[in-house]
Amino acid sequence: MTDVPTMAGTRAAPPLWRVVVAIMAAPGEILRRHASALPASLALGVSGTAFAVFFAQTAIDLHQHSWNAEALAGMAVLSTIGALLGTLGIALLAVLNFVLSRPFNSTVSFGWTLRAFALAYSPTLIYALCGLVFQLTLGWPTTLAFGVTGYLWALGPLHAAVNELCQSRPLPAMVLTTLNGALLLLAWAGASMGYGP
Amino acid sequence: MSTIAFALFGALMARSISSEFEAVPLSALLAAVGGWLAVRLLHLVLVAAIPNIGSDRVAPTQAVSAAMSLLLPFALLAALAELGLGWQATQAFFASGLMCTGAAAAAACMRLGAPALRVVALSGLWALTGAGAWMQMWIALAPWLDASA
Repeated sequence: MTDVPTMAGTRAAPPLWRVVVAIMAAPGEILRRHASALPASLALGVSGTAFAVFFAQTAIDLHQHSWNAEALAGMAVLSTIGALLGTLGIALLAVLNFVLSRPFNSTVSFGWTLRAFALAYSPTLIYALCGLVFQLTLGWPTTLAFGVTGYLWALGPLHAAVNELCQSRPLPAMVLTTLNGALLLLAWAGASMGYGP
Repeated sequence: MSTIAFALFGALMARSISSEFEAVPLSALLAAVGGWLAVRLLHLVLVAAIPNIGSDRVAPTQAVSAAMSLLLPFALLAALAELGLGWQATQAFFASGLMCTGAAAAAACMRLGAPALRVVALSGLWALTGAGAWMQMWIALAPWLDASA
């Protein structure tokens, strides 16, 4: 899918926050219409921030809400890993999916794939930010209730993006969606197991 | 595919509430039947919300079925989490999966002309009720599954 031109030459980019919120309700439609209009850096900013906050939440829960030097160092390390996973990891995942879906003769560009994969983590960002607020104000352990739930919500938009790459073939789309979900779940589990107290 | 996903979720729930191996296929069967009924209910409710649908119900049926098949990756990831990582988080994966597939089914019906607010509200209500009923069902079945297995 290439950028859709308008009277002004290129499609006007909608405000990022509207895209992020709308992806929760109608991911396929929003990604099809708006993913190519947003700069890749902004899209990767969404997934990078989502994973950084999600991993920070994990670190706070792992250290049982203590704020000593060790806990802060653990949080800094995990947040950095999260940010890297949300940017470089998602970019690599987009490359992997783009390459694996070549046999299906999809017309979508790599630029669209990269933006769509990054924006797919919009629900993760919303859930992670809400979870962090509850965690910091009420002291709740929110990694599972908000963090993992938000991460799982991203499977919907991710499947919509993969579906475009697979030209709506159900089985390959299902396999790729599961593979993507499993890779990121294992990455999060591995990182959080390695940096606990 | 959604029936397979429900069966897998049922098997995972049985593993966490009963120590008996025989409880697993029984729970998978129960979950598959319950899931099939739940999907039929969602299908009926969402299709009824599409105005001027007439007698051609093939497109909405296919759209809802395709959306519901999204539950399978959630079930497979729940299996990975439960069997590979040792987490007991099947209920969280199930609830998220139900919300996500409900939203996908609602979006599919919106594309066919259904009013957005109505189908989003209906699918959200379906997912919330389904997740609650699922939890209550396993609480009620736990002693019976252990005894019958």
